[in-house]
Amino acid sequence: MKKILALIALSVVSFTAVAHGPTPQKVEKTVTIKADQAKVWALVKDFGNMQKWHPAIATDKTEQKKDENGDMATFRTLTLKSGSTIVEKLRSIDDKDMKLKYEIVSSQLPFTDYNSVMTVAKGENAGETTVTWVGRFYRLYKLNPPIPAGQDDKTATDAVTGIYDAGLANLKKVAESSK
Amino acid sequence: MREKIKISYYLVFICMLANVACSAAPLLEKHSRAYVTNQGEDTVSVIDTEKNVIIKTINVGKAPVGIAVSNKLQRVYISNVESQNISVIDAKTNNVIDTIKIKGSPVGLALSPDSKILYAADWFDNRVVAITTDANHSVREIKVGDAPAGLLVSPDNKWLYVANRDSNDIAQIDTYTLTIKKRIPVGKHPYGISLSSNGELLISVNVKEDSVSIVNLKSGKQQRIKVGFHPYCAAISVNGKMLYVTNTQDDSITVLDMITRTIKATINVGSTPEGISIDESNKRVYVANWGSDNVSVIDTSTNKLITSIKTGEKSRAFGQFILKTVN
Repeated sequence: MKKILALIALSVVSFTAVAHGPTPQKVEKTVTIKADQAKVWALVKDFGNMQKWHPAIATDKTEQKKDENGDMATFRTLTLKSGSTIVEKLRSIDDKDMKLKYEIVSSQLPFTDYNSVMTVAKGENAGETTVTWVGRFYRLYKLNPPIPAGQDDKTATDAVTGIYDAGLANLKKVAESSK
Repeated sequence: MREKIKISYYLVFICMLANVACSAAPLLEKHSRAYVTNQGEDTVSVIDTEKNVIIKTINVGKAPVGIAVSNKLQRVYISNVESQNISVIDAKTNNVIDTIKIKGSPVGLALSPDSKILYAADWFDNRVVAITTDANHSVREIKVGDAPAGLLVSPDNKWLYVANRDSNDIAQIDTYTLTIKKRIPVGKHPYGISLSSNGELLISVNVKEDSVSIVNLKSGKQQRIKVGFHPYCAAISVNGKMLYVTNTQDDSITVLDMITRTIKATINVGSTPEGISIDESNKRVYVANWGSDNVSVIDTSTNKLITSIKTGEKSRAFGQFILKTVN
């Protein structure tokens, strides 16, 4: 938890380049929760209430507005306990397959061009549910090497891993404790 | 794998003993290979597309992405973006026989039809390098638009097409003078490109607009068609009738009828499909799935998924990756 907050608090150089790096990174994490699938899905799909289960988040505020292509979309602003903010765009909520897709529009996190899928599925044993969180993203540095410290692939991957581990652990706690 | 080789030798041996014409049987096989770059583990998977099995995994440079195959030279070129070089694979042995150092970070690759020139796009600096495939590897450089990605050379060898992601156009470059003839505006963020076998239709895949632009290079007319979410690459059939597009964030392939310009099918494949190529001899489409570390194989006569082949970590295969073997 402290580690994530420290990462999130990192001040980061902003880039004017639009393009991202050449090597997409992936983090995939799964947690098994002893709770009903529908109950877990209700928590995950609630785009405007991520603070209910992610321990780094203080508030979550949603709004409807036009995206870069002029289409209406749902956005949320996550204000972290550290004070910094993340703006995310909802891509889709699929109730049938229990999949939530979203992307990060802007943040001070040490990675960029992030999109993600959260999937809620039936667990191996009765009464168990699994949540899988997958992210695709790039390192911050967008020029030919040498790559400066703090803007490399490992920094990016570590940051996402920290966010996922803390989030899924607490999602499990919240889902298993609330009735 | 070794066992299979043993068995096939054994069969040949039996044939010889039996003194029948079955020794000609291997010639009836449709010999093609799919070369798939696995960016997350610095390897290339080689698939026998007749049997749909991996026959070898080759270690290459760091973070391989792009690919170009030469049927003529029986060589495969792989761009290693993080080690800033190109691995040259001999398709007969499937060994790396050469490594070409590149100034910049190579991603997109294309070969001239005579296989004399290899073009490589630098991901970060707005240029394409042209390297001779002979032993000299002499290099020329072309300044292009912002952030070059997909590359292709026209069948008559006159033009090099470059997708400029951040200037939203395709540069048409004279291959002789290496100068830009014109820049063709397309949709937002073109990444992969495809060209019909007669050189008349150019297709760009517009990532941030969920569309493809179909450009008639003769008339200059252009049509834009919506596909799935966040598309990356496309492959047009040799008869020009069908276009297959990978939709990275829908985990699907859009099959577009190029005659009626309508969507014929949407096929679910592995997770985050990227590179796509057609094996015309076996009537199959191969799709590299970055998210599920495998290749999806589609039957082009039914537009159904036939099988999935486990490859390596983060398969991308950016470029035309099916090689016809001569032996």
